[in-house]
Amino acid sequence: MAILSLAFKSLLNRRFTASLILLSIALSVSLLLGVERLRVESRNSFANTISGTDLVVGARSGAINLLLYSVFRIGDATNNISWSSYRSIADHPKVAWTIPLSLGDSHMGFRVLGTNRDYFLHYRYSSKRRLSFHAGGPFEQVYQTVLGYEAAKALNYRIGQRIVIAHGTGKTSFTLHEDKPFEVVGILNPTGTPVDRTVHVPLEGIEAIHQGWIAGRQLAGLQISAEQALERDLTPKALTAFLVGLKSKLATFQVQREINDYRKEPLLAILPGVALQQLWDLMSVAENALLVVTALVVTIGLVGMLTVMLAGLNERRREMAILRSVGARPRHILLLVTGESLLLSLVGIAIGLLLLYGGLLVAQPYVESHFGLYLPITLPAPREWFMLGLVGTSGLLIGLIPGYRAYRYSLADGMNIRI
Amino acid sequence: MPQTAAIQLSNLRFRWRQGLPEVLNISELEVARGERVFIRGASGSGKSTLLALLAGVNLPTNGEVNILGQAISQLNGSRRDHFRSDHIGFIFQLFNLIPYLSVLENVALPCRFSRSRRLNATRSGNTLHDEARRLLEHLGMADDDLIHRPVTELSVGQQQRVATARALIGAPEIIIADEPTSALDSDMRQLFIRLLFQECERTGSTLLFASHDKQLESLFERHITLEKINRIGQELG
Amino acid sequence: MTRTKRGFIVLSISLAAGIYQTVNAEQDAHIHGEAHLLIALEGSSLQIEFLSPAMNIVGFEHRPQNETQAQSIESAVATLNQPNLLFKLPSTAQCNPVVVEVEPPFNHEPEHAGAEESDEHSEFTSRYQFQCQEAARLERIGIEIFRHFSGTQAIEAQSISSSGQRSQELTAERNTLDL
Repeated sequence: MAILSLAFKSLLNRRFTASLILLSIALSVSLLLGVERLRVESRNSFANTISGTDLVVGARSGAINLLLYSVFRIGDATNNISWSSYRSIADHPKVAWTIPLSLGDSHMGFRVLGTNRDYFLHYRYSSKRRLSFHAGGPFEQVYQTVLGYEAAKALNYRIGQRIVIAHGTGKTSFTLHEDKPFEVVGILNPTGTPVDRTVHVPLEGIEAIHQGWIAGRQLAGLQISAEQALERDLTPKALTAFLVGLKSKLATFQVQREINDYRKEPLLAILPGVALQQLWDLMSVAENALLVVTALVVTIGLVGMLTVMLAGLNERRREMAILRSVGARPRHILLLVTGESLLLSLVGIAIGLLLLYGGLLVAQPYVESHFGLYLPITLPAPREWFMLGLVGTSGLLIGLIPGYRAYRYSLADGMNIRI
Repeated sequence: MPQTAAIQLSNLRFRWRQGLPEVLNISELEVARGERVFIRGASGSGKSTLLALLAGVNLPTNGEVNILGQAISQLNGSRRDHFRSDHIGFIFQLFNLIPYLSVLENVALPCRFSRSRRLNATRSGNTLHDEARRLLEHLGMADDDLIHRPVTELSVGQQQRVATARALIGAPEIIIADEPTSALDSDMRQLFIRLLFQECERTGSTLLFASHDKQLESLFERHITLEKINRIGQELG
Repeated sequence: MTRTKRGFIVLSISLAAGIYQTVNAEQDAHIHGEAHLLIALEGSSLQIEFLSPAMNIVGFEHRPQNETQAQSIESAVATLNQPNLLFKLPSTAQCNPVVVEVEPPFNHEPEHAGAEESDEHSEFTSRYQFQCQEAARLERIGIEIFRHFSGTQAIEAQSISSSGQRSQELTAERNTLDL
């Protein structure tokens, strides 16, 4: 439409102010979309971490807590569970498989997970995908380790290399299990889950390095060599948690109840999908708060536009009068001024999208390596289009304010040039 | 079809608002088509108000304004705007141009809003910009360099000629010029008016030329002194 | 400094989780107005377990003390024995109930006289199993429990199907469970 091309030329004439407005709208739009992307992708990433596991069992605490420390390696368990409890549940006739998990040690900041070979057999992520090896294979002996893809990459480890495990999970742990190094025998393919940042060792290995340790301390004068440890009974005494796969999903609630009612020890069995949903419910408060803040930032950008448009209006009364004299009707003036705001909003949105994708391109490898979060570069999702539509509509509505004032001016001034 | 007058006023009275004194009270005024009329009035004599009434921007408090046989007050606001853009071209005293449009776009501007003027302008098969160029040429602005300059960098005389071309494009029946020469030096004034006459003659437009400059009066075939036809004292306005 | 950043996320999530825990201390908390549904679908088998405080079902939580109360329990059991009244399954799925078990409360004699019955929350438990010929068509289930037991305000439903595990909060207005 002719009037919109006038609006465009008018903006071009004020390109400095216009580009400042554009910048603020574009930045706020890219922030809004960026926050939304992070929200959705972190959810996806969480949801993709575990698949095909029917129950997660740990010491009795909270469902979310158990899920976080056992599956996502976030936080620590408050209590362990005994080996005998684990065995009796693993032998339950309705249980198809279990994956024992023993956490608490670390290597160069990466969590060490004690488990058995069932881990490589039964663990599933994303939509029922199983772990596969980038190099080597699963561990077969006590002092062997399988590294997650990212851990191996970050530390530049190769098959055959020997690594030392530190006691505890702090990055700068000074108590090392130096006397019992582990040989790298396998490196897993990337999964986009915490598995990538995990150092896997056999449960017996965890047991072996803690021979002669009590309550996290090495007993003075009690040195047990790697070879000596092998001769001892390396059956673990305790576990952090374990994953359960059932023969039939129909039995899930029943087995869950049985575990929760287990008499010898207070245990907690959770449905990981349900616990994850509880986690979302919990996180949604924070997410919504974040979204509200970014929405406010967008509002501020639009209000900035409003301020500039209103401030410039008085100086433009001559322009309006000239337009009126050549036949522009008051509604043309309304359209011109509102159209300028609309154009600014739309171009701002477009630049915001460009910024978003540029930012994603730059941040993608960094976010993936530092937070284990893969941000796919995809077209905007329906919800994102909706948000953009909302910003555009707000821009239009806000543009009606200076538009209406200009309309009133042009009705009052007519062709009289006041300035 | 009998030719109606270009402009015909009878018993025109105007006040800005209820309760304010009247500014205009004119019993009779008629301007024939093709006439070139000089309207003389000191500033504050109600000259601009009269022009606004003729243009249908304001409506008379009493009486009737007939333009080209059309009673203006019988049109609603939007129709009046239409009517004005179809039939009247304006030239103001100063700063007539839209700063963000090029010279040619400024000249062609009325054709964006008036279909009939767009049709008139392109009747000969010309594009709007060809027609704008032709008018500018007639007004002594043939120079390509001038045409491509931002309008804000043109001299006042050049700006007024661009404004004149804009008033003339699409051959509106009436040209209203409100002190178009007051910012020009006297040599330029003569030249400007001669060009304006020439173009009005070519298109057959009626010219209403408002000024307080007596020197220009002699160039016009008809003079109206506002103070004489307006019954309201000249101290009001 | 992967660790510190991760540490921060860990801290904030665990803090939040801690808060959640205190709120959500007991999973199977007996709260009047609330009930639980456990639904599992595998192959052609659909199992539904419904657990509800007696308060929601009959409006009291003690042994029936008069004829009217005894009748309320009886009629509640009768309703619970008709799964087709409680669950609206898509007809295209062609499901038929094959197992219906209703366990009303107060069925057993108190273990010793003078037991403080009023402190004891009592639950209705019912289990249903359906065989569905076209289980793939079973995408949602309409829960009609609210209509029959008006004391029920919310149902926390956990479901397991081939699309995964999920939990949903159902109310009289939002009474469709997605599988």
